[in-house]
Amino acid sequence: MAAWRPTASQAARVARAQMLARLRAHFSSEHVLEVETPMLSASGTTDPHIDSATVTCGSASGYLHTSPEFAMKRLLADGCGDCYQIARVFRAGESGHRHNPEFTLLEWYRLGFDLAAISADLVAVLAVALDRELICDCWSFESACKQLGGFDARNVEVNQIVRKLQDANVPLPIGLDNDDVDGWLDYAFSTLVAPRFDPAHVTLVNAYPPSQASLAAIGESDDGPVALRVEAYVGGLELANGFEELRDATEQRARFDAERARRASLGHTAPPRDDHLISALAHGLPACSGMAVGLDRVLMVALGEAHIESVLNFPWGRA
Amino acid sequence: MATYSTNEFKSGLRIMLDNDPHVIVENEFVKPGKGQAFSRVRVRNLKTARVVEKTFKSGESVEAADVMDVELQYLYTDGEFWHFMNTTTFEQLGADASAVANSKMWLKEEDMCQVTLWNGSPLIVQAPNFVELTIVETDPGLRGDTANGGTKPAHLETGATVKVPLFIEQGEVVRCDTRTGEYVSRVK
Repeated sequence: MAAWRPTASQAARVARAQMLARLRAHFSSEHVLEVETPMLSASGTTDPHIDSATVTCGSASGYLHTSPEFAMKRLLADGCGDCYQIARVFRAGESGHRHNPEFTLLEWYRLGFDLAAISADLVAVLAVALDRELICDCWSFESACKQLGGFDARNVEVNQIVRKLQDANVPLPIGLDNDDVDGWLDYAFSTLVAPRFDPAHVTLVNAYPPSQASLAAIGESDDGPVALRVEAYVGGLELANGFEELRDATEQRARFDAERARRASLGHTAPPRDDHLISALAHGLPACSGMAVGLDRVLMVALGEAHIESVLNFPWGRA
Repeated sequence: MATYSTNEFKSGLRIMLDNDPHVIVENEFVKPGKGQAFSRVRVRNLKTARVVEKTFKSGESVEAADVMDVELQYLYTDGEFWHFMNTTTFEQLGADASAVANSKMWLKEEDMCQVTLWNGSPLIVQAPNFVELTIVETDPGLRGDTANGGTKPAHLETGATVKVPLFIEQGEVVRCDTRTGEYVSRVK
């Protein structure tokens, strides 16, 4: 196929337009306000595993956002109320069957929702996006790892994960240090657990290890502290990530600084800490939960496509 | 020593793994939204043709394999080595039995072949896709039986045996497809 042509079919373009229209109608009926925030900022995410695209803007340099989260929380702190955004976001270096460095993220926040409420809201939104009723499976991160992957995610033993990978004929990751517990959990979850989720159902995973909290608040479970974070999958395809949001400015600053230190130790540059978000949290973020859904992947599910290129007009390489 | 980082991985890239040159057949990026990224690749060992799966943590570097494809002319064999010549520089190179394992039965003097060099030495010799070879031995032809599509074995000058139609005679030249090992047509 000539490189100037789009890789998505007309049917995929129509399905996308209809999905966006349904989502906007849904949020409008729920009185959730559509907002816009900058794609280009002076600061960016400090997440150790998410690289921002850097751009020059006149004599200044900036970062393309990897999610509209920080700016939307500033709106919430200012009193904006329930809001959503359909944003193009950018993640440098992410390219593959399920990844494109530029993609469409639906992100929304609901005041007063706890993790259970935002999880139920997510299923309702996915049903709107996919235009069908959904059957839902629910796991805690630890129970999914134990029952589907056969390894212990609370007291992680790398040797145990290595044995399970070998049993399943999954190649061991070259270059992953034995003390990088979260790296081993990420790999084992991606290869041993998520592929076993039912491809006809939506699977929710919650109660993540506190080390994988990201911007989620930490809650208490019977077995100790857990991150108030939820992920949604269809089969092994990750569609959404949500948090009961961290509201503590001091804790947020400490996490940003720890992440920047981690990035430095990995030899990665880190964008400046977003002090506007810290100030907004210090001013006061209302109790809320937020959710982010990768709409290109939702479209892949809707159309039964295995490659993200099939739902993008001009993926990276043709863009 | 040249190296490739995982973010340069793509199909066709030649890399060193376990001391053998490999070619990447398939590369897949694996990454949870909030987690560590990995490159999962299927690689083919260029010496053994075995395909295996490997995973690298993103950012890892792998040694590049000094492998290149060149067009060389086949000259002759002395039984131990099969000798080829670069027709531009007239440099001669000897390929061992393992390099010609799948192609030697098709190699005819003066034919141009694609030769994969590793560190400057022939690693794999590929016969031309089509070769025209003389039949040195086959059963006598049966006249009037051209329509039934029966075949008989024919031994070719280079050592290969192909099935040919019954009307083909010893001493005739036939065109063969070396990828399938099949007779294509008679050459007048």
